Parts: sequence; structure tokens; C-alpha cells
Amino acid sequence: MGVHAERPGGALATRPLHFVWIADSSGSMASDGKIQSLNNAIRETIPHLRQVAESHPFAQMLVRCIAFSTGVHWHIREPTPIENLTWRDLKAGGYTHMGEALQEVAIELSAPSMERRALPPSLILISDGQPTDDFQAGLDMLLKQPWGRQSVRLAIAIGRDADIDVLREFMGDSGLAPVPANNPEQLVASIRWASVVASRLSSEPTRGFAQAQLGLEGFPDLEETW
Amino acid sequence: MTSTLKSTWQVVSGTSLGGHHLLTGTPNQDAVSARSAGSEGSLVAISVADGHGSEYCFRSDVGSSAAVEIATRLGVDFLERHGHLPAETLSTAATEELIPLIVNEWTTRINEHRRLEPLTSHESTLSLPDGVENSLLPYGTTLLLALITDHCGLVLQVGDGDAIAVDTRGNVSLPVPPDSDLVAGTTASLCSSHASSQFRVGITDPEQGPIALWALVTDGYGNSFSDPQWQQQVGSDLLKHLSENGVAWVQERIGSWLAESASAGGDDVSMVLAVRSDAR
Repeated sequence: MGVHAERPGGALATRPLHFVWIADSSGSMASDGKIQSLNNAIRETIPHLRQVAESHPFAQMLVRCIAFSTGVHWHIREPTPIENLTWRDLKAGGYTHMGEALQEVAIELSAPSMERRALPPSLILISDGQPTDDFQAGLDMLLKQPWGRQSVRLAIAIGRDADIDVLREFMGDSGLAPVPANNPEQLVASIRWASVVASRLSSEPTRGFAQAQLGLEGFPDLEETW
Repeated sequence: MTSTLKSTWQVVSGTSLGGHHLLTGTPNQDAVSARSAGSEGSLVAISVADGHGSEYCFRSDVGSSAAVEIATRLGVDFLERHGHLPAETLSTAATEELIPLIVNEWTTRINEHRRLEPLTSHESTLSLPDGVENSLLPYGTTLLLALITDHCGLVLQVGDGDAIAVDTRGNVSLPVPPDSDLVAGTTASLCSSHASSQFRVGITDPEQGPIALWALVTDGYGNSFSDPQWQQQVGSDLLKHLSENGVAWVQERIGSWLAESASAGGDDVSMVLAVRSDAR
């Protein structure tokens, strides 16, 4: 019998890292090609997240996406390993039930399926407008959960009508501001940046925002489309 | 690291640098210690500590080493004076007397370290997050201490990690249940301004038979197992190995077992065992 077979305890495993895009699919996202730009941006981000996962062999990145409009729905319900993720296009229409989306995420993060050994979840909120429901109730419920409080939360503000204040409140006291995305190129860059930074921070819980290689410089500085 | 104390209880311990620390060049911030006392060496204190290692806790290896040394030294001293007491009384005495002593001496030791080795200019830029005033924060660490006598065991814990007690029939118990609020790397700490009140205290289950094995581990160990109830199998497997193969056999292998966990989960991993000699 070898040393490996003699080792006490059962199977060993990498630690789960739950990554959730919380995406605005309200009616305003249908204007000026924003929803298609969002779909393109997430599709372009996936290979970069795979690179993050490869460079953090102690974490297994599991991706979900919840979309909010009039009500919410899990666009990707099952936590999906980033290696297996394919993106189906989101469609836009309806109001902006951002608070309900945060409540739904809170429920998922409080479920027994959240393993005690998991890494801090990554939550990326993407929106172009103002919540039309009770945002505060949703945020309160999220932050009431230990996993919600410890999550790495970043937000992307699409266009000039995005509600910067609620996005900033979602992010908490990280010292960072919501990332602006005022044209399709910036949206790609901002989603890629936020997704990669959040997943890196979650993969390395001892590394804080102050130590993270944030690299916000170099965003495409093009004319504002939105 | 392994060692054997000549007493009723034998001690085995080990620690392994986390895989992530290996990649980033950061040191092992765990620490392990054990001491025995009593006329026949029947009183034992074993301890592990896990330095936080976060961006603001850049001296947490110093903090964890100090914590286990102080805890086991004060622990055996406490046992020599109070070890004859019944478990409940011992628990109360430890809460009222021993925990404040440990916290006070650790605080004094750390303040002295800071005086002798002031923060470098680089460390000063990292020392505190905005709005936080805590000179102990760079040294932040958990602490897990088991005080073991012939008739009972007492666990004192601040922060994460696990204490496992296995009786002679192989029944496994956790004298201090996991704290469901400690998720995603959050932990209580010796560096907290109210550290004494953050300690959790547990005693052996009176329904259990005589304890044959104690195991203390840092959280990196438990986090490497896919089974959330990993303590049950680890406890029974260890007792089986000790019964069938002996302490020296486990001593030879504990390093490689911990290295496997450190490689899978990425965190530093440490374990200390106290094995009742007459139970094997």
C-alpha cells in the first residue's frame, strides 16, 4: 500500500469559486445595440477567465448568470465549470428589477450547496439604468448572508443613464468606483477587467484590493456611444 | 516536523507549505507546538495556529509562532494547577483565567517585537487599511489549543481550524463545532481588540468513551477535502493507522499526507496529534 492510499480521509479537491454575472436585460438595454454588445463582451471575456482559472490551480471556477428585467431568471442556473462554459445570447425587454436579482443571488449564496470550503464568490453587476424595484431590500438581503458579505463585488455602468450611486453601494467600501462603459469597446474592456480582477481576488483571498494588479489604465478612450 | 514526548500521551505533528504560497514565494504562516507536564507526564497541551497572511498581516508567521508557544506553555502550567478539576469546572476556569492570560502575553510579546523590529518603510505602507487602528494586525493569527488530561479534554479556539476527538471505540466528536459565520476565509483573531471574548470553548462529550486520539488542524487541511464531513473519516482512519501500525509509522508519513492537502487546497496545512499510549 503506497503513502497515497494510506492518507487519512477521503478524496481531495480544489476549492470552488462561485462566479456570478448579474446582468441587466431590461428594455433600455435593447437600444443602441447595448444587449448585443453585452453578449459579445461576455463571449470575449470567457477565454480570459479560463486563463485566470489555469493560473490558479487551487480553485475551480463555477460560473452562473442571472438576468433581471421584469422579474429575474437564471440565464445560467447550474454552476458551470469555466472550461465548459458557452454563452447563449441574452435578450432585452421589461423593467429593471435589480433588487429582486440581488435577493435571488442571496438565496443561492445561503443554500446548503455553498460549501464551507468555497472561496469568496465573485459577483459582477452590469446595468445601464435605475432599479425599478426595491434595490435596498435586495442589497440588504445579500449582505445579510456571510457569503454575500465576503463576496468580491464589482459593477459596470453602461452609458450615462446608469445609476452610479446604487452600483457604488453594491460594491461596498473597496475604494473602487463602478467601471464606466460608454461604447461597445469599453464594455468589452470593462467586463473583461471586472471579471478577471474579481476572479483573481476571489482565488487569492489573502490578496486585497490594494495589492491587486488592477490595471484600469489603458481602457479604450473612444467617443461616447451610450 | 515530528516529535515524541515521553508521557502517557505521545505527540505527532507536521506542517506543510501551501501550494499557493509556493507559487507566490510567501512563507508558511502556520505554527505547531506541544508540551507535557504532570508527575507521570499525563497532562498535555497541543496547539496549532494559522497566521492570516493577508495583505495587512505580513508578520503573521511571527504571530502564529508566538501564539502556540505561549498557549502551550501557559496551558500546561494551568493544567498542573487545575487539571484535577472536573471538565465543566476546568472549562470555566480556563475561560476566566487562562484565555485572558494568553491574550495578554501574546499582545505583550507582539508589542515587544514591534519595538525591537520596527516596521520597514515598505511595511508601513501596508500596515493598516483606512480607518483601522490596530498595531497587532500585521501579526494576526488564529489559535487552537487542546488541554488534555486523563479524564477530560478542553479545547480553546479563536478563529478557524478543527479539533477532533476520537474515543477508543472510534467514535469521532468535535468539541467546538464549526462556526457557520466563518466562511470565505473570514476568521476571528488573536489580534482583535476583544480577542478574549471571541474564544470558543468546548469539552469532550461525556457520552464518548475514553479519548484515544486528539487531532488539531489548521483550516487548510479541512478545506482540501471534498467531503464536508471529512473529520469523521480522518479521525477513524488515523486511529486505525495508530492501532495497527503505531506512532512511529504515522510520524514517518504525516509530512507527505499534509503536503498532499497543501497541494490540493493551496493553503498552508498543519496537524498535531496527541495519542494516548495505553489506548493502542
